[in-house]
Amino acid sequence: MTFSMNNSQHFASFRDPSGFLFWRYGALYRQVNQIYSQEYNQFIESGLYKDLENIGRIVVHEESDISPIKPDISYKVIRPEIIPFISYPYEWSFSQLKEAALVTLSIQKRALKVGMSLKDASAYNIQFDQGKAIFIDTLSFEFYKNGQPWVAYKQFCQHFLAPLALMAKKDIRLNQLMRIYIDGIPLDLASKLLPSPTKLNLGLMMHIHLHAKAQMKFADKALGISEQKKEMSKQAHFGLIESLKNTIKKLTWKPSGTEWGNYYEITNYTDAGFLYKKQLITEWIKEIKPKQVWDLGANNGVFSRLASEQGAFTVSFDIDPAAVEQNYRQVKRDKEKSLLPLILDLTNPSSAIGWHNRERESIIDRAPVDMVFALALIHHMTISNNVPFSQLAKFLSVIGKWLIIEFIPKSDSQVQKLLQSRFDIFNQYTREDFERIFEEHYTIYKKEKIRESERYLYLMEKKRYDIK
Amino acid sequence: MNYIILISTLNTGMAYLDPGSGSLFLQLLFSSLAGVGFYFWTKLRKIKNNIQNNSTAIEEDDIDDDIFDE
Repeated sequence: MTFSMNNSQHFASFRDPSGFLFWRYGALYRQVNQIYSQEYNQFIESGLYKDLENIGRIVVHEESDISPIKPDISYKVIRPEIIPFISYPYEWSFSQLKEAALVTLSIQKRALKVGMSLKDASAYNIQFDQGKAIFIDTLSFEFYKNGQPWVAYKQFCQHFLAPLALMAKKDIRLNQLMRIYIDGIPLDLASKLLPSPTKLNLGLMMHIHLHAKAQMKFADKALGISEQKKEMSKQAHFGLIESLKNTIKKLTWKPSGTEWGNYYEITNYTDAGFLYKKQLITEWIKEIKPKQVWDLGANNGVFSRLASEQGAFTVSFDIDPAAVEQNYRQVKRDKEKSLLPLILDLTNPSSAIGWHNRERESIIDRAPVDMVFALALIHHMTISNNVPFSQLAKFLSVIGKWLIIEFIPKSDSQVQKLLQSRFDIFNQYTREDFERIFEEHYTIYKKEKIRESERYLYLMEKKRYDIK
Repeated sequence: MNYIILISTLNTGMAYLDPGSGSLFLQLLFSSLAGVGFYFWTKLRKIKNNIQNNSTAIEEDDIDDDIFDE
């Protein structure tokens, strides 16, 4: 997270005239503009903010007396709590996106009850904190006006319903379309991609297929006079929310038969070796005491939990949507508060996207962290993806100060599997070369052979001259 | 011009999002055809569930129960 910017408006906070986020001395503030004063007061005085705070579904804030960044238009300045890691919809598992959708609908329903309504329904207004999805845009509420349709209906369908339907009904990997379409998946595209039987699903027929047709019909023309005279009652508004909620509730996806789903059942560790590896990592975490850890190639988070259980906020990355889904299900089941599973392809990590390429940050923009884990990862990077040690060492040294990394020799059965289907061009894949190249960026503090295995575990610290 | 008239019925103060004519049309269609019926159907189902579960209706955050289908 970028704390270095001082007194500057947040890059992603410029569309809404109601206010904006800004940084000052490493703290994040939100200026509420005068134009939004009545809505803000209603949001607080109606009890809606307190209601959402009580159920733990909104970012908590306190009013601040620091000077605003644009005093001529300012009404108030508030200081929201910092979210430990900002993540994006294309990094979420199926259940994370589903939870985000249900939270948005629940908030809209609660808002309607006190005469307010969400004026936008962007998935980027949701973040994960303390093991659950929370709403982070305090200025997203407007007065509900009788007869008024939901302004954010289209956006909700594009940001939540379309990707969830595509993931559940077509292919789980289609959430990656969110990387291309920053304002959600166009409904005509979703309608074309979804299998024909989804037209028999009342909710999907209405909110995606018919919706897409209506959008095309009215793409370049206005509604007729008779439509303009019609109103949408509040009851119908509640009905719309219930219909969306039920459609989403029925969308399900269960991980099965993917790349890493049962990884720990097919590793070549003995029980003693696996336990020893866990013991070493635990000892090193206790020694370094990192506050934030990134576990790369975390699978279902077995080793991530060694860090999160000791209080380190741990982001548990994996390329496999099934592993991330399993990991998040465990977070929910065990009510874990310091672990965030996310989807990430290390060979093509999330890049900066949006306006000016700065609205949504890249993975590197969200670094560095105190400690990075690269366990049973190096052979996949080097042998499967042709990423040389030098490139890997450089990247890892950019994203974290401390590194726990596992070296897996060519003689290891897992490496042999990778080499079975290709010509071995990896002459430099030796422990000696690994150490020599990584020592260009790191100081090796500890090195231990994992019992009953040929693998080695290293604790390294990034060298001081090695700047980001 | 017609579109401007329609938009003026919305809260324009903070309305920075384009709702889309097609989306507005669909909501109006939903409102006239199915909205109210669907609302009452959902209410009836909730009452039925409550009777079966012998529980009282409370405004809690039940989202976590709705995520997974187990």
